Amino acid sequence: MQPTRLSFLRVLMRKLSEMNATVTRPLWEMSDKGHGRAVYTIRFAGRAYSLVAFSQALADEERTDRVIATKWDAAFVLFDGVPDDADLARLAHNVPLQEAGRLGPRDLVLSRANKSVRLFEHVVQALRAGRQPDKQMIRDTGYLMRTTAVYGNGKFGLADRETFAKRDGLTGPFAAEMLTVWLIRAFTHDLAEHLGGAPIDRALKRHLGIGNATGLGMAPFLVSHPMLVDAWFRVRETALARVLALGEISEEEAEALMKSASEAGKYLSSWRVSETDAQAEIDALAGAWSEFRAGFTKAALLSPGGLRRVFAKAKAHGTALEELAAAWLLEPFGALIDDLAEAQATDATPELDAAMTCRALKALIEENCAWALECDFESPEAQAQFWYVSEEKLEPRLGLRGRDAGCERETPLDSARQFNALHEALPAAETPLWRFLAEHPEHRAAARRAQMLAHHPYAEVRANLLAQEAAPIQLLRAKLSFFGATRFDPKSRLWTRVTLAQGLPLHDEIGRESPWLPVI
Amino acid sequence: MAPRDLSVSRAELFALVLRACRGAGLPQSHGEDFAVAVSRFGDRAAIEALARALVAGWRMPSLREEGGRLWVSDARATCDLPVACDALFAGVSEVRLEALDEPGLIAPFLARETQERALFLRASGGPGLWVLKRRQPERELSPPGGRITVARETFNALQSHAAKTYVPATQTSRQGAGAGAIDND
Repeated sequence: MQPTRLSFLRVLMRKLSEMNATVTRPLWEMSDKGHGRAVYTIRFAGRAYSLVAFSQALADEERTDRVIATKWDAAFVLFDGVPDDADLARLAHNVPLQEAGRLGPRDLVLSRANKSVRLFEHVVQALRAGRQPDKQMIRDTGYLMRTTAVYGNGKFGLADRETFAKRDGLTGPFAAEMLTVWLIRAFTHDLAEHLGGAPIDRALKRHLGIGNATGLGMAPFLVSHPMLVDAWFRVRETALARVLALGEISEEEAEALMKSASEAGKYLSSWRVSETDAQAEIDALAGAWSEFRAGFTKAALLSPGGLRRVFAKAKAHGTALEELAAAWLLEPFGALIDDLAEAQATDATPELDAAMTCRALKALIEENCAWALECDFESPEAQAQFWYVSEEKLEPRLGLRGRDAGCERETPLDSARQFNALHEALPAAETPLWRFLAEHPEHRAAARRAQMLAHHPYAEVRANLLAQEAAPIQLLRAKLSFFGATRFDPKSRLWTRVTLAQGLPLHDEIGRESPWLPVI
Repeated sequence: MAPRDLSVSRAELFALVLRACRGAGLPQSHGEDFAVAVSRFGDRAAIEALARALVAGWRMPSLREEGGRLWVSDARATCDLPVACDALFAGVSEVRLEALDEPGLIAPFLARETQERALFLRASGGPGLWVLKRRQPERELSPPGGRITVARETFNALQSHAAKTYVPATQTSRQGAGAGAIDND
C-alpha cells in the first residue's frame, strides 16, 4: 500500500493550513555538542501545543531502535499549552526515561529518536565546511533522526485521546502523534544547523523527513482496533469509488495526473533499500509503473470513462501497481474526496447480538470468513507461530511453537483460528446464541467479531497470523501507509524503517502544497 | 491525592484490565467487556472490586431457568455478568444473581451495556440476591471522563494478574521482534 492525500500526515497539513497555524521556538538551550532542551509552540484554533525536546549524549553502543533500549539521542513530549518552568522541570525528569517515566494529563504524546549517524554527521560537517550537504546522500537516507516509538492515548499516564479528540485540528486518527512527528522533524533540522553553524538549503531541508523504525508493536493494534481499521479502508475505497465514478475529468485534472504519474516514476527510481529482495520488488514496481505509464495518454484520461479504463489496466499489472495507481488516482481530486478524512476516526467497538440464532451465525461465518475456514488448523504449519508479550518492556514478539517458551501465554491475535473453532462448535440449530455462549464462553469474542464483519467488511485482517508463512511486515506497511509513510525500507519480515513527513512543508511554510510522494 | 494513590488515564486502565482479566483466566470477551466497563464507567471502588474478583479466577456459570427467569447461583460478577446481560439482550425477562461476590461491578457493567449495546437494564436487591431486568430507555449516558485515582496496591494487584500473560525474556526471544542490537548507521 502507498500513502494517499487522505493519509493522516497530509490531512494534518491541510488542517494546519486552513487554521493558519503558526510555529515559534520560544526556548533553545543547546550546548555546542547539541545537548540541551528546546520548545516549539504551535498555535491553531485558539490553542497552543508545545513540543518539548531533550537532547543528550548517547554512546554508539547504546544506540538501538529496539523498544528495549533505555537511552536515546533525543526525547520528546507534546505538551498541551505552553510549559512553564515547573512543567519543564517535571518533563526533564520524566521524558528522557520514556516508558520508565510518568506522564500527566497535559502531556499528549511521548516520543524519542536516534540519529541517523552517517547522514547527521555528514550534514553537520558539510555545513561547518561552508558547503551544503550532498543531495544524493539526503535522497538515499531521507532523515536526520529516526523515531523509535511514538506513544499516545494515555500510555504511561499521558492524556487520554478522548480529552482532546474533538478539538479542531486533532480530530483525525493519530493527529496528535502526526503533529508531534512533524515538529520533531523541525527540531532535527534546527539541531543540525545549530551544530553546523549554517542553514541547510530549503529544498534539501524539505527533503529531510523524520525516520521511523517500526517493529511488531503495530500489528496487534490492527487486530485490536477492527472498527477503526474498517473506517480507514472504507474511506479509502469510498474515495476511489467516487473518483472512478467520474464520467469525465477536466484538462487541469488530467494534467495533474500526468504530472504526478511522472513524479511517482522519479520517486520509485530514487527509492533505494539495503535488502536485496525488497529492492528487487521496488525495481519491479518501478518497471511496471513505467510500462503502465506508457500505456495511456492525457487524451485517454480525458475520454469518457477514461479513469476507469486506465485503472483496469493498472490492475492487470498486479497488486503492488494497483495499489500505487489507486493512490495516484486520488491525488488531484481533493474537492471530491477530502471531506472523507473526518470519517477515518471512530471509537466504535464490535458488539454482540446475543439474540441471533446459532444457525444464522454459522451462515454469517461461512459468508464472511471463508478465508479463515480454508485454514487447516490440524496442520502444524497453520499455527507454527505464536504472538506474545515479553516481560521485557512489554515488547510484542513472535515465537515458534514447539521451539520457544511461552505459547501457553499466547496473545489472542488468532482470529482465523477462532473463527474456525467457533464455526466447528456452533450447532446448525435455532438455539439462541446466548445459550450456546453460556456453555462456550471461549467463543464469545469470535462470535461478536464474526457478526461485525457483516457490516464492516474491512475490519478483519484476512490472514492467519499464526501461519508459518505469515509476514507481519505487510501489516506494518498497511498501517504506516495510512500515516503517510514513504520509502518503506523493510529489514526483515518483522520490522521496517520508513520516512515520514518527507517533502512536506517546513514549520515556517504552513500553507505550502504537500507533494503526494517526495521527490528531489 | 494520597501518597499511596496513583492517577491513571482511562486508556492505561483499559489496557491493564484487559491483560489482568486474561491473566486471571477469564475468557477474552469477558476481559474486553470489563476493560470497557471499569475504565470508562468505573470508579475507585469498582476497580478495587474487580481486583478482588479476579483473585477467584474463572469458573463456568451455574445457571438454571425457572418460569422465564434465569437463575445464577453462587454468582461471580466477572464470570456471570456477561452471560446475564446476553440473556437479557436476547429476551430473557429477568436474571437473578444469588450471593453475588462483587455487587460494585454491576453499575459500571450495566452502563457499558447501555452505551455499547443500547441495552437498558436495572439492578435491584442486595446481599443474597440481585435482580437484573430491562428498563425503559433513557437519554444516552455520558461517561464520566477524566482520570481515575486508584490505590497503588490495587494497581499493583491488577499488574500482578496482567504479568501472568507476559513471557520471560530470553536471548532467543529477543530475536523475535526484529531490529538489530545496535543501529549506528
